[in-house]
Amino acid sequence: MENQQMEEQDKHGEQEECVGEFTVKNPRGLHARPGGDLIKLANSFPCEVYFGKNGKMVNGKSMIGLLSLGPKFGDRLTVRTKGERAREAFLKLGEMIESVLE
Amino acid sequence: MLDEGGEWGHMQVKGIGASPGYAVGKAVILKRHDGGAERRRLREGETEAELARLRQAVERVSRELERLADETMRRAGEEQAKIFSSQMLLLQDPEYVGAVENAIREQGINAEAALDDVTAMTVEMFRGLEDEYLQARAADVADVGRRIMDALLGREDPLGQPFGEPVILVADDLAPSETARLKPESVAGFAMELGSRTSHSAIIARSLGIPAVVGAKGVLSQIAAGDVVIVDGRSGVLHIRPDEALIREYEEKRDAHRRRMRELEAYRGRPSVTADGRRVELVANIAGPEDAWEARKAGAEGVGLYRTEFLFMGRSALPDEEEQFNAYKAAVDVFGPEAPVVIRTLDIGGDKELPHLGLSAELNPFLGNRAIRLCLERPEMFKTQLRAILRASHYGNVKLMYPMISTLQELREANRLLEEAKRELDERGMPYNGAMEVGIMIEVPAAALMADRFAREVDFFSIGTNDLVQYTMAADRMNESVGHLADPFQPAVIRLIRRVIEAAAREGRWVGMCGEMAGTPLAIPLLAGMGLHEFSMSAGAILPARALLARLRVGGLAHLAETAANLDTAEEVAAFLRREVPDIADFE
Repeated sequence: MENQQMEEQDKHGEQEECVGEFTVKNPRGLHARPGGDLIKLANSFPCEVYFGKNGKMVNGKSMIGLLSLGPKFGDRLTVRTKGERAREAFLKLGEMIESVLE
Repeated sequence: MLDEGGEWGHMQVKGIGASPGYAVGKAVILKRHDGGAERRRLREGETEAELARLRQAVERVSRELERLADETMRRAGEEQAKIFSSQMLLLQDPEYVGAVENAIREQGINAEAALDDVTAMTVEMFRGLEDEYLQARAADVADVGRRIMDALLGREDPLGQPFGEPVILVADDLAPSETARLKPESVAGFAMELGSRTSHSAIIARSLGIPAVVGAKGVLSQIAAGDVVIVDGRSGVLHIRPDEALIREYEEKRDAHRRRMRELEAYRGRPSVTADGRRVELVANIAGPEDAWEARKAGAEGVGLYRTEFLFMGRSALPDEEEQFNAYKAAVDVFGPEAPVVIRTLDIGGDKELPHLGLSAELNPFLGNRAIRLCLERPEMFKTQLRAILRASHYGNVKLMYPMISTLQELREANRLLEEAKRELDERGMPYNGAMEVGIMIEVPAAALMADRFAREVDFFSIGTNDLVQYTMAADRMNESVGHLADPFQPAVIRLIRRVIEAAAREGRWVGMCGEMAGTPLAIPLLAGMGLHEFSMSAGAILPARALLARLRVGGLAHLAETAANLDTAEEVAAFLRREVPDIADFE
């Protein structure tokens, strides 16, 4: 995870929030299967998840949302998580975005 | 439409050949339940019941998809089964089923109407995206939407009944779940009005080995149920109501193709060995990490030519070291740490529009400032690429290759910059393989003639026949009027290739080839006889090449080069090889 910049905000003491960028390293992008796995992972966390690219943000628990970003190999994808276990979700999602294995 | 006969006569429709092979059979036209869903406003207090009805339908579809995923897993493998798990995700998607629930609640309309609206909107959104792959995802949404609708209305499955004898299935397009419900033994071929090579029906047809023509505009209006249809999955032509002679011709083609496929399948995952036990490498030419998967699936043992130009094209700035490293390592990861991956440094010149490189237009770009010449002029850009390749070498069997080398000075200068790049990585404490092999492409006749000297200073040669032919024969390979000159079977070219392989052998270096010639069946016996070690080709040529090599005895092929190099013309060389190599016609 060389490319991530993470900022944690702890304004209200309990509302965790993480924002950062990751690089899509799967040569096939995040289409179909790798994208599906990412959405499954996002859905396994209680916090809110958002993905973004080129200024557009989508619901990170929605396959339709993710596909509408069309994340391809080499793209930088913003990840934003907010709420319970946000930090853990942020790190796990980032790791998957930057992994190559299917 | 190429040919319009009488109203019920023979006609052809041209589409896209999406899955190879040939099929002959009677047409069955897929009819779906469409429309007919009632649209109404919900009465007071009805909302909860309507939401429950939707949830029930979604659950039924979810169970169906699960069962389909299991069945498909058994029949077609994990790859295809995954289609259904991504459809199952749609059933839980807050932007899809979630949006249907919202529409029921907020607009007070029934589930059918809400489903229709949301499905149509989502399909529209995907169709509007540029990416061909994402457009195909529109089919997923439409498919899931139709299944939920069928469940809401308690409709039967239109593909439920058996067809009897194998048929040609005609439809606008097939949804993934529809293709999966088909029994391959009951379907001889597909004829689709819509679709592309990357649509679901095309992908599944290829994986099931069902010949398919897609994107054949007009088929639905031209074919009646029960018509005889021929599917030519190679040329993409559909023959509708053909005569007896054509039917017989295609039945023969079909049977020959099937025999051949069975034979080739046996070579997947096997090493490339000749009949007398000589091991060679069959590797793929790739133009980016995306191709690596396809190549591995097609049976490639590694990469013989990784073209790095794609990283530099279609963008406004040079790719940095990190981005390049990721792209190179991605191919290494696909093939694993043992498999060879030969990465060629930037091969680009004045024939490409690359504003960020500031290349000047040249009168004669193929003889101009390109490839290694350009890179040596821009050491910082070149060293960035060298560092990225070195870093990737830490993770596997990476080999570095310089393109278009003409003189020893160029090679030495490039190697000097390589040493600098290594020192720079040492300073940063970054790991790389210090023993990474370094080779050159032999594509300039000057380098072929000096091969004995080059062989002392490199680990390997890779002969780039496309350019070697063009430079040796002074014939532009893109210019059709000199195409007869740009022929790798020209004796002058064969003499050069032979000289290069012999010079390398004297120094104990290996030689590969990454031009089109390496995958040409007629050339393979000649090259194997000369002692070529590595053959790099497009992915689809690998299994046929492996099957051909398995029939050859290299010991008996050495004379081919001797004779071929002493013939007068390219035509004589080709005719000689056809005479000498038994059964070569099976492979051409």
